[in-house]
Amino acid sequence: MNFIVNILSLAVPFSVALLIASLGEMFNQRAGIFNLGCEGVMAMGAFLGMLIPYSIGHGGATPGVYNFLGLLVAMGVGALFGIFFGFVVVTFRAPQGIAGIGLQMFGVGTAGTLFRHFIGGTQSVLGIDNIDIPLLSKIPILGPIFFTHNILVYLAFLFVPVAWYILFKTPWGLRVRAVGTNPRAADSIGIQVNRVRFQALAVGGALAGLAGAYLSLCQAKMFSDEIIAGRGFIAVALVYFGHWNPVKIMWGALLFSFAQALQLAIQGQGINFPYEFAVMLPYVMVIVVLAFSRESQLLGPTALGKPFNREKRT
Amino acid sequence: MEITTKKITSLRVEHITKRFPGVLASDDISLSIGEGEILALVGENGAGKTTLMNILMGLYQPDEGRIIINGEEVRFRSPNDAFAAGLGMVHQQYMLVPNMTVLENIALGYKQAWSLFKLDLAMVRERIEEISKKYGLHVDPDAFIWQLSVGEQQRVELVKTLCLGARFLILDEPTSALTPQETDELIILLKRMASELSIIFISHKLQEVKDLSDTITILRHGAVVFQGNTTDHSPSDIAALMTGHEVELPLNEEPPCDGEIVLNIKDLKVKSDRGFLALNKLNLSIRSGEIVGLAGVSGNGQRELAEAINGLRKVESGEILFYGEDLANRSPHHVIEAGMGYIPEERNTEGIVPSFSIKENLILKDASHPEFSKHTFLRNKEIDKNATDLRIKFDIRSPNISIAAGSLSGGNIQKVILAREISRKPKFLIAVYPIRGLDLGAAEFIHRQLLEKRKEGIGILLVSEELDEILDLSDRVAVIFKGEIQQVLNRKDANRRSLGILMAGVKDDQNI
Repeated sequence: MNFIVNILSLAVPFSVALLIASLGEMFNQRAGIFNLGCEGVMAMGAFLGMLIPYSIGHGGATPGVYNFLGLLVAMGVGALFGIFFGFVVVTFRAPQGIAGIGLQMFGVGTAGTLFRHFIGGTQSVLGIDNIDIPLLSKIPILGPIFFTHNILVYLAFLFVPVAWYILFKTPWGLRVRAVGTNPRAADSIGIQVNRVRFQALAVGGALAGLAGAYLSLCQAKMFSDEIIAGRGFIAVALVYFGHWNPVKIMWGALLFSFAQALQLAIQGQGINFPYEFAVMLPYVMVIVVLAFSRESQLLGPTALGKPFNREKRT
Repeated sequence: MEITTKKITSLRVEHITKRFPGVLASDDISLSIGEGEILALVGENGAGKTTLMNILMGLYQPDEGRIIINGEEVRFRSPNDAFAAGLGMVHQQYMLVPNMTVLENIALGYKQAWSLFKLDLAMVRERIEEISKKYGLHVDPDAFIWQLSVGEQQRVELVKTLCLGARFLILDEPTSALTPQETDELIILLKRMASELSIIFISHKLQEVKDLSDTITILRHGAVVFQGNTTDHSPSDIAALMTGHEVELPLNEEPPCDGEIVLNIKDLKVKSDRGFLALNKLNLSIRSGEIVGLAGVSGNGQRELAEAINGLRKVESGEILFYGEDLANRSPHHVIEAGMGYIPEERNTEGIVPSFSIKENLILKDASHPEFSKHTFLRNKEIDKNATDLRIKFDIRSPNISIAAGSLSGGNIQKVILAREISRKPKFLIAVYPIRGLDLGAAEFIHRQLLEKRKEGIGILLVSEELDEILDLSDRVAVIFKGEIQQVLNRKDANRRSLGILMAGVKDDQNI
C-alpha cells in the first residue's frame, strides 16, 4: 500500500510539466498550429526560470519573489518564442513540422549555450518548496498523494477547468476553435484569422515556458542540457491522446507520469527490471494510443497545420 | 464604421475594376439595385461573379471604382465593414465550422454577445428565435453542423447572415447542392424575403433566374455584357448572352437499347467513412450501349457505389458482376485491367496528379504497359505522341503538354481525365458528376463524348445531381436514396417532377 501511495505522490508532481506544456500546445493546435518546438521553448523556460533566482536572487537563497520573477520571465520569453514562431508559420506560411523542429533545436541550443555562459556547471537553487496543506495533508492515502506539493502543482490542476472554460465558454475560445477548424468561415464573418493564431501561439508559448521553469525551479532545482528530456514531444503527443480536450489531456499526463513514477519505484526497490524498458514505456504508450485514436478526427481542428491564405482557392 | 440599422434602399456599384496577376477579373463593372429588388448575376465559371461579390463584402479591395449605399460612398476594408453597412453573403461553400453547434457558429459573428470572459449564448439563442420566427426559417440551435443535411446547413447560413444584421443579401449559387423540392422552397422563401430586403443572386441555372429575379446582369470575362429586366428574355436568350454563342447541349434521342447486361450489381452492402451502411442491398444492372443515370442528392451513397465498383472501398457483402466476373473487393488494378473506365468525383485529387504534367497524367494507368515503357524505362517519344494526339482530339486547351495538369481550368482537367479514360478503350465507363462546375462549352463537349461512347456499345453509369444532365443523356434513370435504388424509370417516364419526388425519398407512386 505504502509502495503505491509513494508512486502516486510522485506521479502527481511529475505530471505538472507535461500538463502545463500540453495545455499550451492544445491552444496552439486548436487554432490550427502544430508546434513541435514546444521542447525548445520549455528548455528556454527552464533556463530562465532558474537564472533569475540564481543570479539576482543569490542562488535562490532569498525569498520567493525571485522565484516568482523567474516564472514570469520564463512565461514572457515563452510567449515571445510563440510569436516568433507565428512570424515563421503564420505570416510566412512555412511548413509547420520543419519550422517546429527548428524551433526545438534553437530553444534547446540557446538555453544550453546561455547556461554555459552565465552559470557554467551544475549549480542548484533552492527553488519553490512543497507545502503540506494543513489538515488535508493528514488524510491517510489521499493526503500525501494530493496535498503535499508546491503551489504550482495546485495551480496547474486548477488551470484544467479554467482552460476548458476558456476554450468552450468564452468568445476567444470560440474564435480559436473556429480558426483551427474552418479559417475561411471565420474570415468570412470578420474574424482576423492570423491575429487569433498569434494570440494562441503567445498563450501556448507562455505555458511551455512556465512548464520548463517548473522543471528547473520545482522539480530538479537545477538546470542541465537534458532537463526537458523529451517532455515537449510527449506534450505534443498528449494533445492527440486527449483529443484536444483539457480534461482528457490531464488524464493523459497523469497516466504517463504514473508510468514514469512506477519505473523509478521499481528501480528503487532493486528489482531486476531492465531500466531502458521502463524509460521507453511512456513513448510506447503514446504510439499505441495514437494508433487507436482515429475517430477523433471529426472533433479535432481539421485545419491543423494548414496556413491560411484568403486569396488562395482550394 | 458605425453600425446602423437603416434599410438599404439603393446599392450602386460604379466602374469597379480588379486585376489579379495576369487576369482582369473585374472590368469596369457597374450595377445598381433598388429596394426590395432581386438581381440575378449570371455568367459562366470564371466570368468574375464571385470576385465582384468578394469586393462587395470587403474580402478583396477593388483597384478602381466605388460602392454607393443609399447615395453615400462607402469603403470596405474588411468583411466587418460590409456587415456594419448591412451586407451579408451566403457563400457557395458554406462557411460553417462543422464541429461546433448552430448556436456557436452564429455566436462567432454576433459580437453583441461577447465580453472578455463570457459568451452570452442565451442572447444569441433569443436572436435566432426572433429571426426564425420572422422569416419562417426553422433551425435547431443545439445541433452540430456535421449532423445537418446540406439543405439544413444552408438554412443555418441564411439565419446566421440575418442574425448578424444583414439587410442586403448576396447568395452565391445557393441551389447548387439542393434537391429540386428544396430549391422550390428556397425560391418561395427568397421571394417572401424580398419584401424586407434586396438580394443579389448568383446562378447559372437559368430556370431559377427566370423564376426569381426582377433584373438580370450577365458577366463574361469580367465585364458586363448585358443588363435588363428578366421578364423580357427567355432562358435560351440568356444562355446565348452568357456564353457568347448559341449552345445546345446534346440529347440522347436514340431508342432504348437491348444489349446484354454487362454490369450487374446484386445486394451490395458498403460502409461509409463514418462506418454507417452507405449502400444497403443495392441492386442495379446496366446493359452494353446504354447510359443509366443515377439521380440523387449527393451523399446518398453515390460516392460509395462508384468507389466500391472501382475497388477503392471495401464491399461488406453482395456482388459486382462485370462481364460475368465478380469485382467485389478486387484491387483497383484488377478492375482497371478488367476494362473499367472511371471519371471520379474529385477531379483535382482523384482524377489527376496535379503536379504531374498533362502527358504524364494521360498515361497514369498505363505507365507500365509495353506501349509506354520498355525495360523499366519510360518511352518518352510514345508518351509525347500520345499526349499530342489526345490534346488535339479532346480539345485540351493548354500552352503545351508538359505543364502541370493542376494549373489547368476545371474543364480542361476534366478533358484530360476523359481523354485518358476513353483512349484506353474501356468496356464500361463510370462518370461521377462529370460536368459539375464546368461552363456550358466544356459540358457540351463532355456530353457529346459520352453519347459517342454509348453509340459504340459501351455501357455508362452517369452519376449526377443535375436533373437536366440526367434527362438529356440517360436511357434509363435509377434514383438512389439512402443507399438504395428507389426506382428505375425509362427515359419516357422520367421528368423533373417524378425524379425530384423520388430523390426526396418518397417511393409511393400514389403520391406523385
